[in-house]
Amino acid sequence: MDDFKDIYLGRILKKWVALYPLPEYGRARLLWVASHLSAQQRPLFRQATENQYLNLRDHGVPDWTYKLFPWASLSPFKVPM
Amino acid sequence: MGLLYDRHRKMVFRTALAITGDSEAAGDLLQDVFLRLHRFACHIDTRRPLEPWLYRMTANLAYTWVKRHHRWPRSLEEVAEWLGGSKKNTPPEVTEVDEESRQIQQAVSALPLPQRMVVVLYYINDLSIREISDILDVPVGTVKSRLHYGRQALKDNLGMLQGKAHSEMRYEVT
Repeated sequence: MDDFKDIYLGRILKKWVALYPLPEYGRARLLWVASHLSAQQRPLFRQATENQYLNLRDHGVPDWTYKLFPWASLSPFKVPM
Repeated sequence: MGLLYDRHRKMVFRTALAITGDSEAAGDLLQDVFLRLHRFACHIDTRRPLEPWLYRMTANLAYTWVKRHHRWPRSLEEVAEWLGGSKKNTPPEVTEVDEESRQIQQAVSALPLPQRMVVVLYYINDLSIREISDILDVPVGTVKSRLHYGRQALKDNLGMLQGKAHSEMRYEVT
């Protein structure tokens, strides 16, 4: 395909997608959903810092419980904000 | 994340729209992409540009959406809406005149999905062959081949627009 047609094809495709408006309030919706993600879906580095207040291993809980029940070290023992 | 959303939302939305042909789906995919960005932020190398990651995630999610929605037959409600000429999926400014837009949408949607993805990334996002190859994780030769056949198919499907292409481009040059 020659250059003229190639350039024109690019132009009409861009013009076509530009006709559709972006979702309304997309930013607000996204930030709201992100702030309400569950603990398991939050970035992993945040989970690590939130667990610093209790280490079940220090209380004699065996290691296999961490593997089977990772939630055991999370929600019930978080320091309330 | 709001800043990243503002900076890249158009690119993500338009890529998803061109691949799926569905503006509602593109809106949902736009949200999905940034939620995944938020969720996997710790795994992303911040020293490198973010765009390739966004393109890759958008292309993958759009690909999955198209595969899923073309597998199952449409519901009766959808068929009735289509027969009745519902414009639910089309904004008012598009319904008025744009026979050309409808032809373009049909031509792009008629492309096989692998070709469609390459064509969209090349023409709408102005990416190079090498960049498309990295994003889609396919060899450069495969990208060139898909682009060639995609162009050819679009040229055939948009044949009546070709004459307009020549006259418009010559007018701009002179």
